Order: sequence, then structure tokens, then C-alpha cells
Amino acid sequence: MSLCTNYGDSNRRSSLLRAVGLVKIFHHGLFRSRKIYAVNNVDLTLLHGERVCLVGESGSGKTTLAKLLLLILKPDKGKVYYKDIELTSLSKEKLRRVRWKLQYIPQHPENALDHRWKLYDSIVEPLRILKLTTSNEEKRYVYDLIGMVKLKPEILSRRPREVSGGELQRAIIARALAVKPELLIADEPTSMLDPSTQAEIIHILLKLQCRNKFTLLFITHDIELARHVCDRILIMYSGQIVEEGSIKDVLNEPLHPYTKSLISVLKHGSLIHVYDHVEPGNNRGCKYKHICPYKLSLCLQYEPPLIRVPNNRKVRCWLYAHEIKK
Amino acid sequence: MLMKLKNEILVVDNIKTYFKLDNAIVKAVNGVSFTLGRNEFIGMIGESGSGKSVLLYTILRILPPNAIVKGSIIYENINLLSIKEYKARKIIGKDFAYIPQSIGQALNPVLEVGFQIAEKPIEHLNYSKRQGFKLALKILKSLGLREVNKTVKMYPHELSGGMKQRALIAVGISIPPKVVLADEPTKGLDIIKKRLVIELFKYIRERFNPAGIIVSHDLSFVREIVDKIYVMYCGQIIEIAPTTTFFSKPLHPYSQLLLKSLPINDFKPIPGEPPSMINPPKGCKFHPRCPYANSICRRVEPGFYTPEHGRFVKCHIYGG
Repeated sequence: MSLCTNYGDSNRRSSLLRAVGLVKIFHHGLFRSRKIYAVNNVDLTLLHGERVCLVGESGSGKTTLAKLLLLILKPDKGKVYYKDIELTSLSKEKLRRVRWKLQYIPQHPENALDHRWKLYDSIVEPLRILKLTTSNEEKRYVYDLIGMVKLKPEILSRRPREVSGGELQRAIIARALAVKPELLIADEPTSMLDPSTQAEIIHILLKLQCRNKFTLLFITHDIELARHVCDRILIMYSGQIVEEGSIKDVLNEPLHPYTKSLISVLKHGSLIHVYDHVEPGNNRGCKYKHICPYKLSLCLQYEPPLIRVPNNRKVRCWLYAHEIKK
Repeated sequence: MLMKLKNEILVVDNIKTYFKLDNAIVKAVNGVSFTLGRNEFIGMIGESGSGKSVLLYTILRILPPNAIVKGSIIYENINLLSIKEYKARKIIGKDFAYIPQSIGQALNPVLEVGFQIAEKPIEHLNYSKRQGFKLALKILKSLGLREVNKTVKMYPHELSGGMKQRALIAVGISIPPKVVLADEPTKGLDIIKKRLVIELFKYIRERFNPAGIIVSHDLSFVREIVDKIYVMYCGQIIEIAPTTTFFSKPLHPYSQLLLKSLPINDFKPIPGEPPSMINPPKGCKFHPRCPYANSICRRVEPGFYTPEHGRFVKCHIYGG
């Protein structure tokens, strides 16, 4: 999709949001005795105005990572920087003053808005809280907004259960964009919608991204969809980012064994993966070791770092250890 | 009037399912007829709100009380719509397997998984609880789960997504089904889980050889399992085609646009909006959005035409 191509040299642009060593552990079981590393040591940089996809299977920690980036969940370890401000150390009051620049579209549109409120009130709420418009201009502002997402005005007086999934998702996009955010995290915004509606929503989202130049972090499990949305892709597995690179490179020549299996499912429909997601007995070594067809003895012992490889790519796999020495 | 059924297991004739609201009537399914052959799998595709799910609920007789149903559904020489509900439930509960959408919420959170699988044989085949659990164990094992002895005693929240999926399918096949009805079994699943569902459906087909109706808008999933594609739009079936030819050459303008909206193809949305189900457009239901619409489309509703052998399409273009 060639809506706008603003990405020549992404190295020169400054970073908008940066995460260093993020860890989130969930405890469960009797007396909170069992631990799950939902997000495990994730480093991530989002540049101004770029479109990034975060791809991974369900349970890989995509949504948790998104929530950590926005400080909806508090990370157990690690830091999040917005420009030069460290968000993780801010007090609640100060965080509130900064965070409205970072917006979030949740996966299930039907639970995202208050069921008793009319859509108009839901869309206008952030504007009222932040006092971005005067009450005279408010109505016109909202009509402009819903025009951008191609909604009809009569929908504003309805409640969430009275509109279709596609309309609701558009209203949620309008609400998120009402405050003119610098970062928008969209968490599988179309996984519950049918293909035609999905195409329409994505088109609207990308058009707005081109116009307003916000940074878009698009979370999905559909690589085919990611191809249309983003320039850079992050592959997540078991709480870690295992591969990073431009979408073209990753699709044409996947490096990590997990990415390879994902793309072969896509291309040939073959199932390399085993079904059962067995919790490994020991946490040492690579997270992918019990499935990986190429595993080395090294993989069982030590966890691989994120290794830089040519073409501005990174991969978390010992098979590329020779790249470290260079 | 009952006909003798040989090759067909289910004959659906002119089904109309309307929902009565305060001041309007929603025509969710508006005159659908088809036959389902023994061992045949069909896929109902179409956008949300086209009446696919309501059609399934009509067959299963699980509609809300404000629904009005007309027409007939004949299964093994019995009209499922004309008999009393408790009698229908005995037939449907025993012979039909229903696989619902959203695996997260479909299992009962306060019952052991084994019991939920055993419930059907206990209800319909007079199994004891112990026999039921034994059967559950066997089915889960055949679906490729490990440590089944533990799994049958677990509650749904203790299972992973893939395990839940298989437990749900086990609930469906605890009595060998004659007809499998699945309502968007892959909605919101990632590509690997989707693969698993495809394998499970193939397993069911090989093992029990049932007939099946799969309602979905996930075309890549449907094309791997079903023999025939039925396209639904605005409460009607507008195209019937074998799976192989449908994807290479869709006939109805709506089908063509639907395939174009996939990310793997052009990723173009269908112009216009889905029609109102309260006041559907006159003539062809698709004419307000159709690029080829002309005056006859606006006035006259097309019938089914057969441009090629085995293909049916409801569009004036093929009327000659």
C-alpha cells in the first residue's frame, strides 16, 4: 500500500519512546508460588513518525509489552523513556501530564467504551479532561474528527451496543486521535472484524498516520496484515523480542528459527510447531530450545543476546554468534 | 410433506428468521434454501451482520424468544422446526456437534473439563459419570493432549489456549456427530492456533465422516476444509461454488470484491456500507454497492443462474 512513503533514512530521526530492559513477572498459583515472565528483558526504540509492527502468537506478551510502554502496568524492572523524560520514575500526578501524548486502542472494541455513555460523550471526554477545546468549538471539533474516520454524525447519539463492530472501532480511533497523540499503540484493532471492514479501518488508520505523522505501534498476529501496515517489524516469542528488521527483509529472509517457522506456515501451510506449549523445566538457555530444529548445545545452557546482523537487523539466536566478533 | 432423503442429510427450505423489535422487524435470514449432502462440508462466508450465525442458531433452535421462524429444516425425515422443543433438543443434542466462537468463554468455568466432555453421553446415552470421564480421557488422548489424567480434572482457567480449543472440540465429538456446526472457530486466533483448528477439523472429518456447516469470514481457513462455498449477503445466499473454483474465479461482484479485500490480495475495502436489515434495498440487495449495477438490478431481484456446471449465482449479469 503506497499511501505515503516518508521513510528514507530512519537512522537520523530521533527516538520518541525508548524502553530498556523491561521485565514483567506475573505470579499465580497457590501463595503466588509460580512465576510467568510475561515480558522478559525487552529493549525497544520507537522513532518519530515511524510505523512498527509487533508480531507474535497469543500469549507471547505483546499486549503486556504495550501496557508496560504506556505505564498502564508497572514494570518490575527496566525503564521507559519518552523523549528524555523517564516515565517509570515519575509520580502519578506528573505522569498524567505527559502520558496523554501516548494513546492506546484496545483489542476488544466492545469493552473499550462505557456502555451507558453515548459515543459523543466518550469521544469528547479526553478533550474535556485536558481542556483542549472550548465548549463552543467542541461540537465542530468532534464532527471534524468523525469525518476523518468516516463516521456518520447520527452515530454520535448512539450507545456502544447499538453500533456495529467496525463503527465502534472507528469511534475508538477518533477518541484516541482527539488529543493529537505522538504515539498510538493499536492492539490487534481488527482481529475481531471481517475482511472488508478490516481493510477499511486499516486504510483510515494509515491515512491519518500520514497526515498527523504520529508514531504507530501496530500489534497483530497476522504477518500478511503487517506487510501492509508497517515498515519495521518486531517478532516476539515467549516474552522476548527475537527478531527485528525491516518488513521486507524479514519476510524474504527470516533469520530466527521461530520466524522461519511462522513464515513457512504462511507460505506453505505446513505446521512445524508442536501443539503443546510445554513449560520448560529449567529457565536456562534459549526460550525456543525445546522446539527449535537447529538447536546447539550452547542453546541449552546460555540465553542468546540480541545480536546485530547486517542491514540494520537484530536477531536473538546463537546461530548468528559469528556476527558478534565482527 | 416428507421426501425420502438418500444423499442429503439436511434439507433447508426457504428459511426466514425475523427478529421482532419494539417498532421494527429485522430480517436476519431472508429466504435461504440449501441441501447438505452426507459427508459434505460447506462454508458460509460473508461480512458480519449478513445472517450467517443466525442461520446456524435457527438450525440448532437456540434463537432468543423474539425470533419468528418460517420454513422447514428436514433432518432424517423429521422437520426440526415443527416438532416440540424438547423433542428437537433430543435429536439436535445427540446428532449435532456445535463448536462455538470465542474459546475463552465457551466452557463453563466452574465445571471440570472432563465432566463437560462427558455431559453429552450422560444426557443422551445414559452413561454413568465414571464411564463419561473414561470416554473424555480417551477423546482428549486421541486429540493429542499429553497428561490426560490430569487434564480431565482441571478447570478451564488452568488450560492453555490450545488445550481449551481441543477440549471444546472434544465436547462437540463426545458422541460421534452426524452434523458439525461451527461458528467462526478461528476468530481472533493467531496463525499457529488456526493451523491447529484446521488439523482438528481434518481429524474429525477423517474419523467420523460427518457433514458440516462452517460459518466464518476467515477465507484462508475455510478454503482448507470445506468442499463448497456459500456466500451470504443481507440474509440471502448469493453464490454457491465448489471451493477450488470459487477462489480462482468468483462470479458474483460481491464475492469478487470480498476476495479483493483480503490482505493477501489487493487489501481494498468494499465501497459503501452493509445494507439495513430492517429495510433491505429493493431489487438486488447488493446493487447500491455494486460497480456493475444498472436499472434492472434496482427493480428486479435476480434468481439463481447457472453459468457453469455446479455453480449458482444470484446476479443479473449471468442472466443472459
